[in-house]
Amino acid sequence: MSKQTTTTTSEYAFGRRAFLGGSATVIGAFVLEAAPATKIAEAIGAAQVAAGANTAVNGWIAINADNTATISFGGAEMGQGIMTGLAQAAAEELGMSWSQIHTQAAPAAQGYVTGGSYGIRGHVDQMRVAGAQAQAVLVSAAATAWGVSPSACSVANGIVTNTATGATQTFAQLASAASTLTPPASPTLKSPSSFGIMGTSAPRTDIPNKVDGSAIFGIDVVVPGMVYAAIKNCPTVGGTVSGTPAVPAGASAVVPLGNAVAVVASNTWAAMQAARNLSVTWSVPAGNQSISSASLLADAQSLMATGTPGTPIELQAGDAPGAFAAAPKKVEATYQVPYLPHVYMEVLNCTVSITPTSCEIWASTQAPAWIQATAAAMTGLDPSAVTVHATLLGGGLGRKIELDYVIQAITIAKTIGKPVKLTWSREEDMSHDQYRPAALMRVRLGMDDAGSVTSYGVRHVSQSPLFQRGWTGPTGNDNTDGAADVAYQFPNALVEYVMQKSPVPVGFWRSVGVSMNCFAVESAIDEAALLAGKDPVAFRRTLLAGKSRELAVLNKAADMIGWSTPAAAGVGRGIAFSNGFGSLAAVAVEVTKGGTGGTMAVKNVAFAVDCGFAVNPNQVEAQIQGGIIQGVTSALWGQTTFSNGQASSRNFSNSRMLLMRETPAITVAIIQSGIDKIGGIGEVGVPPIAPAMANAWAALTGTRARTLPFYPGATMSD
Amino acid sequence: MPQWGVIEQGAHVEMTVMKFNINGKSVTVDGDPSMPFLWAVRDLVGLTGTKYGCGIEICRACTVWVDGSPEKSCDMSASEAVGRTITTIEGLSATPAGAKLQQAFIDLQVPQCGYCQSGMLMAATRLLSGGGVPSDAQIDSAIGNICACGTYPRVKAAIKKAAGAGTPVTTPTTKPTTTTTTTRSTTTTTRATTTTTRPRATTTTTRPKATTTTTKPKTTPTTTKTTTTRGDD
Repeated sequence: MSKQTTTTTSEYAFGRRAFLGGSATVIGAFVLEAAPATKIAEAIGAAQVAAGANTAVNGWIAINADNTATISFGGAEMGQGIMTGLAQAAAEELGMSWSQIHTQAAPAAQGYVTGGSYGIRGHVDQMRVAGAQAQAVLVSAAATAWGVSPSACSVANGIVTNTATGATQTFAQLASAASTLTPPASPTLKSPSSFGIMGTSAPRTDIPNKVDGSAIFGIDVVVPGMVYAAIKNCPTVGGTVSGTPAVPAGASAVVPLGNAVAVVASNTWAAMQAARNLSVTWSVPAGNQSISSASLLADAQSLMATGTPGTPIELQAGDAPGAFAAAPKKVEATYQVPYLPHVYMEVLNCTVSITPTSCEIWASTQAPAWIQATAAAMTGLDPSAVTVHATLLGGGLGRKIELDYVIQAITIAKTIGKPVKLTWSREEDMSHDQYRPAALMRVRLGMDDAGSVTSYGVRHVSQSPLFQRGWTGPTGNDNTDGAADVAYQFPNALVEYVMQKSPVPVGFWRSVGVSMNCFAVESAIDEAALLAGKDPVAFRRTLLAGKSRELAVLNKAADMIGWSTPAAAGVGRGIAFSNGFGSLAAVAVEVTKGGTGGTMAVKNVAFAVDCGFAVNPNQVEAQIQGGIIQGVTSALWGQTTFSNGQASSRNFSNSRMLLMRETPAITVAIIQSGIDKIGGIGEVGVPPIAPAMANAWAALTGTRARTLPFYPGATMSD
Repeated sequence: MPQWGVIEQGAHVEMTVMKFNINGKSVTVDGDPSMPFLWAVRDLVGLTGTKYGCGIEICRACTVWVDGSPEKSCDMSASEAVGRTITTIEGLSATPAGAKLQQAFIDLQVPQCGYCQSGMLMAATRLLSGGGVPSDAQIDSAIGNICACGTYPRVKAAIKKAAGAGTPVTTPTTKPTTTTTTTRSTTTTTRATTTTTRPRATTTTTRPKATTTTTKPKTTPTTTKTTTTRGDD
């Protein structure tokens, strides 16, 4: 019994296009997508097939016959709840209750890249305007029917009321007439003080299908007549296939893909098994087979010593080297973080069906519009003939912004002339990730005799995901985020970025540069505080003097952990502060030696975040909880090493993940400073965890851990 | 652990008609009997709620019940499932404990990406099938599933709620009921500028908003909830 994903039973389901026909009437077709010109988007867009400006004029809101609304969503729902959050924004201004709201994926042309913790803050105003415009035409239609002014109408729960007569019309009754009207370009939006849906913990629309197995992720897609493909990527970085292997038994085709070979069979298991056992001859560029963690580190160390920083210098103020040289007290330490795989639960996959006149793609993707443009270029079809179904994602974490697996699936479908679903095995997924770059970061902090910081310097060496994708702009880029934009105030500052180059594929991992630099900077700040004989929280307060939002977050985290009272015996406490993605965060943690063999165990985490405005506080909390847990996992165990040009990560067997029994008690406080300061949240939970753990461990043991992960080589058997 | 046996060139892959009993229904498929049941149930039967995560018996995303016991379906061949009573996530709501847990997962907004949740629910439901309220240690022991999103605190809270452990520790969609502290946002005019080359954004006057914090005893290894005073709609 095969399953048609395009006709799912629930109105909440993804991939459903009912609003374009049937009983739904599109009335919100008025919003011009202002593409968030993030550095990431620009860079990847330049390197991939030109994706166009991603500007679509299209409908976001449809009114259904049962007087509910279906609100389209142009991003990637990978568990962060933005499909719900953005629908809350539209529903707020539309004038319906939350129980009347359904959500669905928008067409790819209307979609946008989901990354940079930009999903809510980048589109919340757009969705509010869409909602307000829809309400305006609905009210206008009612007012015209009644022969009254729109100001004589009120709206609640999808019903327009004539305030003079008490007559009512539902949105459903008005939708047809409203859809012919021109909406106001700049409708008046509600004051936050009158919000009834935004700012509430509205239940997520995607959750009911996630508890009964009916949610459709990319890996679940089935289309009629499709076959199944598995991948064998060249084990060595940069290698390509030389000669096409014979089709093995149990398989129907072998498709060479440059740096990989696909095997096609009648089911996933057969395809994966045949791919795994396929003998392929690879051609590997000279030198790549000798790439190892040791060689990569030696290269980074050489660049640290003598490399030339990119220009413009990331941050330069006063004379940091001079002030450091003159400082009577100083901290100089080099911190090291590893290459990191993304490790979401749903492996890479993509389903493609191509006919002479159309191309249809189902993908677990963070970038549906790029897929549409890429497929159009690859098939020679007009983009309008390419339909992209953005499914739910079983996690993305930055990896599913890439198009490598999509391009593979399109090529396979073109080659074999049949619809195909490509599924990477877990081993292929982990060993052919586009890893968070490894980095070396040397921090220099000079202090006067009183312990005031007079000089701040960071010299950061790592590979650049942007440059690896053809970025040709200034070196100012994601890699120094968390170092060049610190909230602390220093009279002399110098942050340099020295680019390392290597064929090791690197990419965007949840919190990108902040995930690296926050560890170095917040560890070094702690080391300076201890050297100065000062309390780490008080030391940071001094550096944040006058910055009331930052101080409020720092103090909240400290208060929640009970910083003013001593930690219990055998417990070490640490704190770290982080700013990034438009939000402010501080975390205090308590660690013990309660892990296996006396290793670090995280027992309590108190996290304070100021994201300006929480559209859905419950989901803000969920994202912080999840960020903490990913942060702990990564700090303790996360890494990919290289030997003979091959990545070490294969599966969970050698990529240990935190389990429930190891999960600390977590408390999250959300501080809201105003909707005008709305910040991102998806990545904010991760960066300060590792340094807070290192700082707590130093407090407990006197030993400073400057290299991540703390316990390399951990396995799930430990 | 499934063995990745080498397929010899030209070897014939044996296909067998297999009859499964899944969620109370009889299903017949034609396939390789050595295929892990995980792939048989997904690709041959068409029930895709059971998820592939690792294929090597670690992550437990593929957990199903075999004769009432949670089993990793990546570690069981299709032929081994013949003649057994199989329950998958699609059949979970037919069990009283399963339906309760599903509702608790919705009430507490447990899933994030949701991919591991089928396995979580299959494991959790089995834990509750015998009745009673499990201890934290029993929950930790029963739930060895990997969740990359980090839903563990909420999964635990949902299990307790479904078990009738009283007011759950996490109450995402209701107002906090225990002690509260208030954090008022600060109102700033112009942020202090630092001596850096990057311009600092200035901020404008803000609307103070109260937040409410539910505090917790440190000794309880469970999550507490901080949420705003604005209630659910």
